[in-house]
Amino acid sequence: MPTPEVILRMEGVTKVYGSGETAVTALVDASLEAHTGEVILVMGPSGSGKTTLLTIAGALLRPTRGQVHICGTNITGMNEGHLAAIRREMVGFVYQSFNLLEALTVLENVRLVASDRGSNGAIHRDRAKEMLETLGLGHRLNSLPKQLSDGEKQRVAIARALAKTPALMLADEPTANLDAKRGHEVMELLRQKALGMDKAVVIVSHDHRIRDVADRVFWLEDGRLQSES
Amino acid sequence: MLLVARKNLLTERIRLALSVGGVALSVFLIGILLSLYRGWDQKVGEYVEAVPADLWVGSEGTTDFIQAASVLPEGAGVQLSLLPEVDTVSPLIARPLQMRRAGDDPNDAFDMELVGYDPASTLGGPLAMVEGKSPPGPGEVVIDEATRERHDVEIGDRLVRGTQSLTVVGISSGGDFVFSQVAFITLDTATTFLSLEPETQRTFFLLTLHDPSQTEALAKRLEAAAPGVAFFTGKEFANETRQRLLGNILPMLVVVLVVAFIVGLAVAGITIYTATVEKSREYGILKAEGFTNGFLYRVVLEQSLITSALGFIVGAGATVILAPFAQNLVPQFVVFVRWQDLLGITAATLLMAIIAAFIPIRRLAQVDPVTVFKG
Repeated sequence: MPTPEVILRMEGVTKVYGSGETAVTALVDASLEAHTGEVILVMGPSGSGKTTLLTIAGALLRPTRGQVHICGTNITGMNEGHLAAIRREMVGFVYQSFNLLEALTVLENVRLVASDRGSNGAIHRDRAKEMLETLGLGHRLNSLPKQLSDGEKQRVAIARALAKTPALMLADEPTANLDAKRGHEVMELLRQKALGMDKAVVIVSHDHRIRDVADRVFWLEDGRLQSES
Repeated sequence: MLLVARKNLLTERIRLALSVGGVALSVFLIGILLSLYRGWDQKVGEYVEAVPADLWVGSEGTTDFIQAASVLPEGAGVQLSLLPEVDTVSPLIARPLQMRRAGDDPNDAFDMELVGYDPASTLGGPLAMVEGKSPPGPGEVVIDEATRERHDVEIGDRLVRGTQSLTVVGISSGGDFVFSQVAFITLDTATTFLSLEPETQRTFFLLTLHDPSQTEALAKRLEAAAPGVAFFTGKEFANETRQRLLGNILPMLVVVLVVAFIVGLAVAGITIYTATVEKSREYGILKAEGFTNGFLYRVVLEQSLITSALGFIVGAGATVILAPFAQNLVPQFVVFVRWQDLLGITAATLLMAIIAAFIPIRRLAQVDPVTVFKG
């Protein structure tokens, strides 16, 4: 069995919003490593800094202090153009509110994100279609997001994230808008597909019912990250 | 990219229709006004340009054909004929006046440009006959086909001015100045009908030269040698006439064209902007997924270009299709659609699309992708 590769490494990451008297510290000296084939769950109450952690890990936000590496590349000092390229090539997002483009069909939503510069449109289409079929959405390819149930929407969002073939998948409260049964189904699916494709998965959530899908669980409170194991 | 732009537009069909309608209205207004101007420009100078004279001679201060204040003695023609470069000299009497059909209400009088010419030379006479006879005899007149269409005048009708009248004996073409038309009579009839005093006064002399390539050089030389007399080539005189009739209209036309452009731009700009604001979250999602600002700018620009292209097709199509109908309904509505103008309108529409996309693009730069993580 090959040694798991480090996909995400966060070292002593601190994030402060604002400055002076109005400064708010959202994350304090947080460190985290995620490897291929691993699902990490970060739990914590609302306002604990979970989304800040996720957006820094996802190359959307720069830390005030500390270092972030994705697939061995230090992204800490990168400009917006390079960060966008990292997000496009290495990171797949699954959002709490699905965030599908309403005007596009299910297939088009996935295909759009699957496309990368210089490659063939037919390949994107085939990859997107295949991904949706493996997630049980083969019959929904031409449906619009408004015609789907919330569970289906989240499965499309997972297909979209996987279609990019990213090394790192980040999920923000993925079960918040789903009932318990569907939430569990979706998380199982995410785990199964992501691990089958050798991804590292980081989920932030306050939903205790999904603890069993995680290999490691972290607790985040007042910006401080601690391992539960 | 085009997929996102097209789908975004199609999901909001009413907004798309409004946007396309605004651009189409703007293109239609610009197209119809430009065509109208071109039509007038073509008609107004047509007769002067088509008269096969190398030089038009008038008295000093003469500016154009329609409002000609030129008065020259007949003897000037004799002197001009003595110049070795001159082949023929033909006198012309031109006078703007109002006439009406015999039996019609005096309020139904219409403008005419009465032209007395020498039937022996025919220079300055009807350009082409449509019907009837030419040259007219004493007390007879050849009218333009536009006079027949607009004022219902037919061969055999009498045209009245005060106690005098002229009988219509022929219909010619090419003498429509939009606001009035040329009517041809002989020099002798003109002298009598206009009660010229002295009878030997003329308005213009038309010259043909042995060597037409020397026209401009001769005109300059003669102007220097004969003070009090002005010399114009046919093209110059046609342009002066156009300038006299349309020169005052042009600034107003430019203002209306600019307003039409602004209307199209405002409608397209507002609809593209509101669509972009409403889709801010989706643009945020695309940013979060790693799409660059450049990609998003192109999506908005494509939306603007698609909207403008559709507006152009509708507006230009309406111009080409409706202009002839308008011309049939209103005779003065003389339009001439030039492909060069359509190219110009295409460029204006393109400019409209680019400007309309500019403000939404600035807004896109401010969209923060982190906001999409908020439920």
